[in-house]
Amino acid sequence: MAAAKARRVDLLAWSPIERAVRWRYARAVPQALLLALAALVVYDGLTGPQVAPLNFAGVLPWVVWRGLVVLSLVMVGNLFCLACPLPLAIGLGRRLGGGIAAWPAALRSKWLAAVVLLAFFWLYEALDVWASPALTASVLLALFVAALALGAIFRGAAFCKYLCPIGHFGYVCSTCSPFEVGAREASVCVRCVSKDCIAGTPRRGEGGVASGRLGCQLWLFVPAKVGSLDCTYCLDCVGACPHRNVGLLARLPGAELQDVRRRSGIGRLSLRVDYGVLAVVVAAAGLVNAFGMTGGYWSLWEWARGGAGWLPEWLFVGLALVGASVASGAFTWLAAWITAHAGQPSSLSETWARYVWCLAPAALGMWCAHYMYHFLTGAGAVVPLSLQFALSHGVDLGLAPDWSVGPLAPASWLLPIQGLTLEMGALLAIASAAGIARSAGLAGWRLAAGLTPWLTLIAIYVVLAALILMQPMEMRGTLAGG
Amino acid sequence: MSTSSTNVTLIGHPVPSLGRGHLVRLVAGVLLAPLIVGCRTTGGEAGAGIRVQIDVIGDRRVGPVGIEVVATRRDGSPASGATVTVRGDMSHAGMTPVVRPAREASPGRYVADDFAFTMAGDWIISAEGRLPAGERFAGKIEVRGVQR
Repeated sequence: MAAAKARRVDLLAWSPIERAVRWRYARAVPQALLLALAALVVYDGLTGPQVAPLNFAGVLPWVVWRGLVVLSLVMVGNLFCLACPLPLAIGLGRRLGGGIAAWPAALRSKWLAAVVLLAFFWLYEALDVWASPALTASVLLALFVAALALGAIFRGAAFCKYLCPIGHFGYVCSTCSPFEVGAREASVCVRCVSKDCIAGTPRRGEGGVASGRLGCQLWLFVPAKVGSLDCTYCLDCVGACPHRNVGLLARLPGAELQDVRRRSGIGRLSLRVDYGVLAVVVAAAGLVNAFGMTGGYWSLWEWARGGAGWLPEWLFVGLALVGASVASGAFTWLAAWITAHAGQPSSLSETWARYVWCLAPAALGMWCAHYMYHFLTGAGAVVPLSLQFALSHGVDLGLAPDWSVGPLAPASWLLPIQGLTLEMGALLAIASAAGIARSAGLAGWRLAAGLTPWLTLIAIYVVLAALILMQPMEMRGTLAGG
Repeated sequence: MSTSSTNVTLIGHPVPSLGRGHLVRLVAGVLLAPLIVGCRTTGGEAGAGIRVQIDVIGDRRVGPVGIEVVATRRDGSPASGATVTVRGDMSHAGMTPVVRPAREASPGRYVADDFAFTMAGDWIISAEGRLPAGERFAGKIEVRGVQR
């Protein structure tokens, strides 16, 4: 086992990278960069042209950032949380308000996070936030205010752990990422007495190790940490560990979904139905969010509105999101019931809470296909937009904005890339389902019977996703008035 | 052939500066943004200057259409001799805009014949013009629900 771990690729093993990561301000630099970009989004969103393609608030978050988020999730891990500027607001809140209260015990679960995530997706669709720079800026500011307020009241990163919709999207998807933060050698952790990875190093560290570093603010204890759920990849534990024993380690994407061990800060995944609900919401919203950009969505709304007589879009999209989540929950529960009756040695809820995670790779495939579409069709628009912004602020860089540079890939490549992404997600989902069943000890006909309902659900999900991606695009949003 | 609804806006390209006024505007914007968005209208004349009227000539369907821009001075005379560019954006960022020059079909009336809606959905058509004397004008309209 130790030999196997020793062979794992560690992104931090190269000493210049490790030194950079262990630098006291290693996280502050990317955070400051994203904070500056967030300020630009808010400024332009509230004062600039209320036309999304001509405003940083329309382009940076909804075209560039989302694409980079899914790319980083697929290629490394939850790197956005690493660079997220919201913890700066949490830190400011802590300075202002002390941040000493414990998060209410009744809310120490993911139920609230699932509701917030669903509400975030609903807000995005119902108010067409993507089409309104002012609303985008307002949502961003609201996130900062929420982070600051919670930082002022509660200790640790309660906002990240229990509320942040972006973070929870990242947590779910990062279960399929190829790298995880973890201990390089378990034996080193066994000998460690200071446990700085969770306690922090408020004093000068031994042996010249960086001092004054926080321990994990999400209460993940590295020696007992399994996978990437709830991990923000903040690398605080890397900086805090006096033994240089924390790395960014390679793994098989999705492998943690099969892991039955007790997880630090979480417990056994099979006992956490709330985490499973989070995965269901991410999967269901992946379909609805992409469907909302197609002609089929509007046809369905018009059909439903004709039948009901009255159905505003905010209600329709709310029903679609909740309905898709409830339907996904119901179908996966039925699948769990079948699997449990096929000989799965656990209760129905435990079976569900374990197997439902096999949808996570398929969901990541769908989100990736959707967001990469926008990224590849328009991320280059940042260049002419920057020139236009400079011009409108009296800075002539001598270059005329060329809006034809928006696409990063030919249009004919988009559908094949989306298909490939979806396919990769599906294959990983199938492998994960099989791995979960095997780890439960199923074999032979029990394995086949237990797996069949999940493979069916994965197939249905992927077929629905493919049908949505093949729909003609029809982007409608509440337009900003002149 | 049909002519779609029009909208009028007035131009001006103020150069924002980061002064106290902007800070107040920023804070007010945060507090009032939902209200502003909820109550917004589809435009209207904003002040003195050149009045711009934009029309879509043709069916609101994916494919070629004409865009007509009529620029009129306050005294009602046509603002002729301008260089006019028409631009179409989807309501969602990230789609390549359609940018076409418009020719002056008659005094103060400019037409972009080779404009095309490239995708179904909601569009924002904007026009910018510059008169020989350097005077600038611009306007925009919303075109909702372009069909396949």
